[in-house]
Amino acid sequence: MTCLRVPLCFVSAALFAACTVNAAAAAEKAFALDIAGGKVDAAQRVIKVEKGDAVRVRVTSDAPGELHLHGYRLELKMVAGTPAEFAFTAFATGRYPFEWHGAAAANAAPHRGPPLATIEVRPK
Amino acid sequence: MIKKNHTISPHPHPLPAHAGRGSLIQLLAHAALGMPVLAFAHAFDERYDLPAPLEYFETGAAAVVILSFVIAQLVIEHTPATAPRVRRIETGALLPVLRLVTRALGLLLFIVMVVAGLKGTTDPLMNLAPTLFWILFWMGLPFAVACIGNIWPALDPWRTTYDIFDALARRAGFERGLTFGWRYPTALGAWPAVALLLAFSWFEVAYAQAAVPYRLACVALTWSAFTLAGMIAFGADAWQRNADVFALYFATLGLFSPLTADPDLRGIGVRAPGRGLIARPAPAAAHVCFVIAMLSTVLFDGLLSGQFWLLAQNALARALPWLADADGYRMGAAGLAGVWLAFLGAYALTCAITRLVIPGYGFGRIARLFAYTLVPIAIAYNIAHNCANFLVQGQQALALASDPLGLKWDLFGTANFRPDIGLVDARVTWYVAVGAIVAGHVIAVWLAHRLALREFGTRRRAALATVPLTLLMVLYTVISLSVIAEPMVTFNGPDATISR
Repeated sequence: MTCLRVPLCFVSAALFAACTVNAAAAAEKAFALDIAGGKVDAAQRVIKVEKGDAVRVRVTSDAPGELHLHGYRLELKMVAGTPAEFAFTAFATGRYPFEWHGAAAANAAPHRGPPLATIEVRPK
Repeated sequence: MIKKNHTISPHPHPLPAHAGRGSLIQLLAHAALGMPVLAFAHAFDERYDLPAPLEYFETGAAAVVILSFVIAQLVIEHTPATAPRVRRIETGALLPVLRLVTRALGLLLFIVMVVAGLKGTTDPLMNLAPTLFWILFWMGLPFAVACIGNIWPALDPWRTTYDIFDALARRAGFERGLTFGWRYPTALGAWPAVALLLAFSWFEVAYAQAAVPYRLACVALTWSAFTLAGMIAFGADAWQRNADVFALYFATLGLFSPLTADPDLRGIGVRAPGRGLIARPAPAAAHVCFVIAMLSTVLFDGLLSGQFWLLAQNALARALPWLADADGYRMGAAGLAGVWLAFLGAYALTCAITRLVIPGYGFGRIARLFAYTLVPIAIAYNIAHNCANFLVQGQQALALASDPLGLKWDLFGTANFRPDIGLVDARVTWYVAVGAIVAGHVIAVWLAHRLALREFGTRRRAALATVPLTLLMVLYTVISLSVIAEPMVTFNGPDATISR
């Protein structure tokens, strides 16, 4: 079926090009979350990265507690005043909430109310 | 604000063997920083969808409008007004055997679900019941039924249970079988199913404990008692045609599907998708309201996660303060009823206008004639809204099959499998979502025009009659596009830290 071979070659080349075009170098991106009274500043509330980025989120808190990143299922146990860091590759696109569980309100209504912050991993 | 308050017990799980790319890096990074490498349970109904960017919404909406005109033109001017064609395939003994197997499977799955709910772990993610019911059944089955055929009558565990005891009763000498033989009141019609669909949707979207396994099992048992009582009172067929919300829901979806089974189960009918929707008008006003409820309830689910609902809630709370209860139950009910009534009102207005164009057709007749043409829009929105969620959360079923009660079993060796959240890229999801919505709309417009041509005789009358309905479909479709895209979700600014 020689009549099919030429278009097939073009299609394969195009597909290959499409795949490789997206293999641009992944960026390293750093962010901060400064938790005060169980909340962060509006400017820090939405973190935007691209798929494949190496993400570092430096967290400080004025009170002890746990910070969960849903979806990626990461957790940081925070001590008041001591910074800690999430470091991961954003391999999955989507919008994932950070939930703060302050030690004081340990068992009161988990997962209620808007999240502390959100990370949006956009496709390339 | 409506929030699902899940009583999650955040017990840590051991680090999963299959945690996606980057887990080794995570492990090393955390070990280096001295952080505990624990994973935890998130809320059951968490969605990680990214709303589609504005360009997708605009392109989708433009396609919807343009294609509506093009199709109208094509159908009205070029289609011969012939009846839908159905091809029949003989299948011999295949269907009866398949039906028997499916009935056993359906009943078994139901029993497993109830046992898991009652006796299994309280963690919704580690218990089979919520995933089986909300993800596999309520998200997956409608899609399967729409694409293939209505297999619910075989899967229906309540019908299977009734039929077993009915057969036993007949063996024991009761001529009528397991029924009192009361006549189902015709005045009641299918209205119970409409009320139940709205109630079920409230349970799904507004009720905080819908994913708690024990609660789910209790509700399932209560429903079982109720529906079996109905079948015993009025006979299974009469009950399921009118008051069994699941039977009616899947039967309506089944009108869209390409395959139908012959009543004697000796053959399969094959038809173009959607043809079944225009074969007959809706039997009664209640069925029209049921279809509108199908549309409005799936849209309400999506509306709830957007900024629009926040604004609406605040406005409602100011106008009617008694609506604002702490759990959001009353507000949720108000919202659900409000959206349903709004959609119903829009459809009623459309039918009233159409009636002006077609003398000799009453309002009720037009409403019942075209109601089913809206079903493809409901199906499409279901796909758009649930596709990604089904593919990500549905993976959990593989682990749960090995450990249905969350008691650390491993029946099939898959208990440590963890869903890969990176399975579906957001861009693919956007294409599927917008594509499905546009396709659903195109099919709906096509069906409405074919029906009008067949029903109203002249091409001129058909062309005029379908203008209001086409505009209504454009409205419904653009609303469903906006719910999955950024305009609805973030139009109030970049600070859209909304979660469900």
